[in-house]
Amino acid sequence: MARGKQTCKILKDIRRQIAEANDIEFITSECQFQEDCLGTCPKCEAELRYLDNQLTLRRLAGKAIVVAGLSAGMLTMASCSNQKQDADNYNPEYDEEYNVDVHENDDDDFFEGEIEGEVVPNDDYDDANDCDNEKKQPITELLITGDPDFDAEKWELERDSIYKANDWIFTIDRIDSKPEFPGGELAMYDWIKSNVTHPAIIDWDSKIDSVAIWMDNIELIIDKTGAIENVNSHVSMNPELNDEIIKAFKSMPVWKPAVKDGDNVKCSIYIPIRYIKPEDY
Amino acid sequence: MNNISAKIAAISRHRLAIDGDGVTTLVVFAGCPLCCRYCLNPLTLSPNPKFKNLTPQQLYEKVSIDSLYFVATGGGVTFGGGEPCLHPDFIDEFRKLCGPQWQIRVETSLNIPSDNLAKLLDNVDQFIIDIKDTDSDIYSDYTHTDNKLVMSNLRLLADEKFCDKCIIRLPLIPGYNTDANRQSSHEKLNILGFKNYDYFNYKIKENPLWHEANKLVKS
Repeated sequence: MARGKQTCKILKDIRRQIAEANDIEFITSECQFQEDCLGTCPKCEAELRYLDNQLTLRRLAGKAIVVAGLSAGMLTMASCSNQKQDADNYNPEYDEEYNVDVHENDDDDFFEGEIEGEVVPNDDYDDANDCDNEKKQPITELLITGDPDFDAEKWELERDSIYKANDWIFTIDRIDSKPEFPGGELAMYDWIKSNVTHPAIIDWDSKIDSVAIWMDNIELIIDKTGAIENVNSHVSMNPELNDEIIKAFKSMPVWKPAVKDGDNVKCSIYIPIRYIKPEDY
Repeated sequence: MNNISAKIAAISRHRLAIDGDGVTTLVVFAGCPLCCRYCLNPLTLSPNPKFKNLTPQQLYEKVSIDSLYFVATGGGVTFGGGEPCLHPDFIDEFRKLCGPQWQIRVETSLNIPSDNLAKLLDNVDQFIIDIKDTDSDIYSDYTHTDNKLVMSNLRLLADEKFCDKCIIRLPLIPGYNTDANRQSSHEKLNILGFKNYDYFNYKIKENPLWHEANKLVKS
């Protein structure tokens, strides 16, 4: 059974168990949707809300409700107890599912994460559409990956055009020519060495295994004129050092800007740096 | 603390026994102290300005739609990333909102300040720890970071009698370690008292940031 259908079936079983344990009439029908789904749909979500409402009413009426642990043991994570997992039990699908593949999303509304084979909730989710008795993909407000009609090439062109018009930030993988520090990469690191003066912290030359070091990837937003628009450092272990780095990077000379289809565009790039771990860390 | 927020890269609902028992919702934090060669989510290595900044309250409102599933199955919210343990105050606030019935789990490298870990002990029901490898050379080659904090934090968890609440993930990292290395890690951690292990293989997906960093290391 495809993953989405299996998820749908399991969630429905859980809802049924909750309803039965609390003497709630569980009205459902077999899903007629023929293809694989995302594991949930407006109808599934409506059933869940119905259950939630019924339980609330029972709670308000002073009745005991039973939910905790009702379906415990139904879904157990695969791990082995104090022994190596047998190769025969290795489930390759598990590896596929373990991590969420996060992509950049151009939707300003919310979810930046497009998740392989999963469902991303939308703020304006509604249950107006019911997939029952429909032989086509249900129309929902959910972000659906793998849409067979999706024209990626057309979408990318439209996306680039919108990005340019709004002066939004291109990532490095979407540009034709990277932004370039005057004189190139080596000149950039020379410049950094000369301009980041935090005492005995930045370490450019020692071997990685000989000192306690911390990695950071400094994100630079370089606008379409080549000026540094913003600097982000995500490892805030040492605020003083972070401030020093950000201040220095913001004073960088003007870069040669990134180019996309012949136009200069705003772009973000990452500069990997390493430094000796601060003593107070 | 009323000003707590964090960049959230993604939220994935209805994960069945993938990030812990039961139905879980995975919340992916942006930001990680490591730079792993095969990182599946390199975008989380930075605070991408397009990631949404959420308060614990806002996150709670988004994920509580699945509360019934969580409570019925012993599931809950699993914080991943990125490195979730860089956000102990956020998780603390979130726990106050969701109460004790949801299981809170973190998928972590444990390469974090020990103070962060200490703050999390009261709020996290299970730590899913990807240790990479206990061999320091293998670890630093693969992540460009040393593993001293990982080892000291594992000892802290053992001292605090958290071994039963941990799943140690022992990956086979193509080109870096072998099954013998994994077995060696397993034996070292057995001595500390850890009991739950998960052997798995990394998928090869090259992280361009690692290669940039590697140029520096080799230079």
